[in-house]
Amino acid sequence: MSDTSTISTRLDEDVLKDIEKLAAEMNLDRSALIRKFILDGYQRAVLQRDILLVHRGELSIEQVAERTRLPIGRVIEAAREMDVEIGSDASTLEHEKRVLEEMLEKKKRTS
Amino acid sequence: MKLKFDACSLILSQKLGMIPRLHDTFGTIIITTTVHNEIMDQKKNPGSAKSFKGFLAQGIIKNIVPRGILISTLGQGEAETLAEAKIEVDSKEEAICVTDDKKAKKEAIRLGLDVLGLDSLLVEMVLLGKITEDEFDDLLTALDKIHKLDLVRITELRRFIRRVKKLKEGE
Repeated sequence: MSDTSTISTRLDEDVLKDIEKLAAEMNLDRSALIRKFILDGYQRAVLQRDILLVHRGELSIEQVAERTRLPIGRVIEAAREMDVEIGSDASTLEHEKRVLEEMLEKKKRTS
Repeated sequence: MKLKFDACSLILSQKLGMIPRLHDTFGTIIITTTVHNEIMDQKKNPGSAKSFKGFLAQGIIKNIVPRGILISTLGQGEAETLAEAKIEVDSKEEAICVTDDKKAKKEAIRLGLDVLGLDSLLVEMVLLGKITEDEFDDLLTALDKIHKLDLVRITELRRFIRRVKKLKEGE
């Protein structure tokens, strides 16, 4: 097991009571539930940050999947939930139109 | 012509239910081992791994062991897909990469490869008479629900369809 460290933070009494209630319902102790919240929140924040990097063309979709250990399908879903466009933009269209025209030309020649 | 799909475009094609029709129009869909492992992972794709298995069994999708390694700043499957296309092109074979990833597409162009996205592949199907423009619009609407599309790009692709069709009519 990897090394662990103890951290401390302050929470409102009301929030803490709600967390304790939820922990009891989930058969977890309070620390385990807070640990889960921190890890889940961290993973979500990393995913959201990386999706924005895909949007800017700095990371690829698969790189995000590798970094977050999530399926590619989940990365695509998360981007859609965030309403962020991570696919192709118009900058490569001239290239693609040329490829499409060449494909059509070849098809015409062979038929 | 060999179409080499990365995992993202293959997953999107599967979600649109277009894999058999893409195969009918363009031939066997080639994927590399890493892409294969991604789509066939039951835990990662519980809903679709079974249908991918069927496509592989029917020869609609073909898995190949990558013959080269491309030093790249992409994910492994994307890099393998581009490397495979590069090997084909270097040996004077025709190959087109299909990716819906912005970075992978730019890298493919930098390498001198022909690259398309799923949306532009659907444009080719319209121009070949394999799908109607209405079907194209429905497919784009469905695609946009799972993978947000760039409005400028889509407008330009529609304009391209109209231009090519007009040219055809004039011939």
